[in-house]
Amino acid sequence: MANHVEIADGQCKGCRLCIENCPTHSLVQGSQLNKSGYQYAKFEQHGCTACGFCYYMCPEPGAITVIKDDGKGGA
Amino acid sequence: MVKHAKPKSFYDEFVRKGGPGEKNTHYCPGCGHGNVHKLVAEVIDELGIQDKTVFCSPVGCSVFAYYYFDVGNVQCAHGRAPAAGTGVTRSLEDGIVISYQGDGDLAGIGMGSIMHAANRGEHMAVFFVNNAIYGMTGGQMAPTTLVGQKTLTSPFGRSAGGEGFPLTMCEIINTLQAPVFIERVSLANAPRILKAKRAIRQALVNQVEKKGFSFVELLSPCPINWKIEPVQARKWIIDTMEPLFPVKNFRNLEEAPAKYEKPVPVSDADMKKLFNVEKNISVTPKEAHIDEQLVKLAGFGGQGVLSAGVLLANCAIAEKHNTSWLPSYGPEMRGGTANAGVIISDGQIGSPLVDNPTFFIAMNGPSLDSFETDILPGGMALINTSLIERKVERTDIKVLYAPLTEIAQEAGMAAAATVAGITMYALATGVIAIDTIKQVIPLSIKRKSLVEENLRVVDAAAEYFRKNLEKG
Repeated sequence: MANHVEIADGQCKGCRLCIENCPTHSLVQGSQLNKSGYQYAKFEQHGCTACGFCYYMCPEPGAITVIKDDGKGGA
Repeated sequence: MVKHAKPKSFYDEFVRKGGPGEKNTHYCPGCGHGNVHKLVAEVIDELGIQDKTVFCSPVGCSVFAYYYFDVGNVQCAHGRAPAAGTGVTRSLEDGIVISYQGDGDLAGIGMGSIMHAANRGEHMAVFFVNNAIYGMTGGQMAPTTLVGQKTLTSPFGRSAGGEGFPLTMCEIINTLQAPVFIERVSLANAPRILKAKRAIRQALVNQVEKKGFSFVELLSPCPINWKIEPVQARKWIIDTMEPLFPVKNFRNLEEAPAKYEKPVPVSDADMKKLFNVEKNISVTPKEAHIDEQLVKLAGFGGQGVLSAGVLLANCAIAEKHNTSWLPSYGPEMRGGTANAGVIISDGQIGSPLVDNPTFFIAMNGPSLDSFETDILPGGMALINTSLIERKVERTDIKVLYAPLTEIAQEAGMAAAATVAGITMYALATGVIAIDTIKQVIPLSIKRKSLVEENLRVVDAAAEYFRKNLEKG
């Protein structure tokens, strides 16, 4: 599986820091609201390098998980 | 392969906010605390120190850090995390101590605590989250608020002329000799955050390696109170904060300038030497337990009231009782009334205060006026008739009248009138043997040339007591 980012919808507070700091523009703000009322971020595959910038910009401990393609086809 | 995920040093669920199963922090969107929490938790994971880390959290938005970090936690009084951390680091030999503080906590109310902990080179990592404002209370001006910055309490912008300049803590800490590591970092963007992680890591490695006091200042956003969107708030750090608070390493020493010396308790033998009582005193062991003695001595400053209290306490120690001595200090020490409370007991002594004495020694008139009503019913009072003309009005206490100053004067030393008082206390209560007093005096009196005179006063007082008061 290619490099990708998993976003825990319910933990996102919609601050957009991950979106603005993604070098490959692989994150966008979704149109839906989570149960806290935040418009949570969504991952779109645009050549994600699993650099981790989104993870480090995100203030929430568990909202973002970054997965790197290890060439084995699994996550 | 998971490359970046929630660090293991966090709890899986954060029970504080919402109900069970809650995974969010209580921080506002875009807050820098979450970033710092993640960096600290990651480094704790990487160094494998979760089980020996003690996180001292402050008062401020990060007051609830103990809901997030699955490590040892102490939530400290406002600004006192470095003081609480000092206690932890000194008593927990292998502990890794983190003092996590905001700018109001560290540079405002806690300025004294941080400066002295840094100056002592305490073994702790301080993570100082500087967002230039009081966040938790709603955006008031903080010690690090920039000149011109508008806050709730500086609505027209901070004025240097009226409110002073922002405190630059790294520069201030850098004037001290003891710290081993001082660095300022920024949370403005991802490369800076990765640099911040390296500083946090160094500060914690320094604790693992017992290197010493390490201070990391993190320039952090408070979008809500700055009234700036989270993304813009990060840019504001670069544009507005970093020019005044330069992001750089200030110090990185290989070893601390002074090696930490763990204080060791003083042994009984050394204690005896310090108090000049190392000589053995022979006392006749007594079978019976004594009733708790609450003794108050009062007189004018310079009359020897406090020293006499020490003498009495030393005699009690010599006779294997528990004792406490508490002088009343203050301007009254010089010429006014002075008093000391001595408690002698065979049980444990709680408070050393003697509010209601069982035995009161009044060396002058004002002392009797002050304390006559305080004596416990059924207690005793010894009145120095050389200086007190009036009689005691209480009828529910036993009163002994003796011209203590004259007795001492005739024995060659008027200044030892209080020693005459102690002698009579010993005879009236039977708690202390006269022989013990005479053995302790040479050890208790600093000026050895006066020992003889004091001993003569004891004999004279004892003689007076036996002649005039014994039957009383």
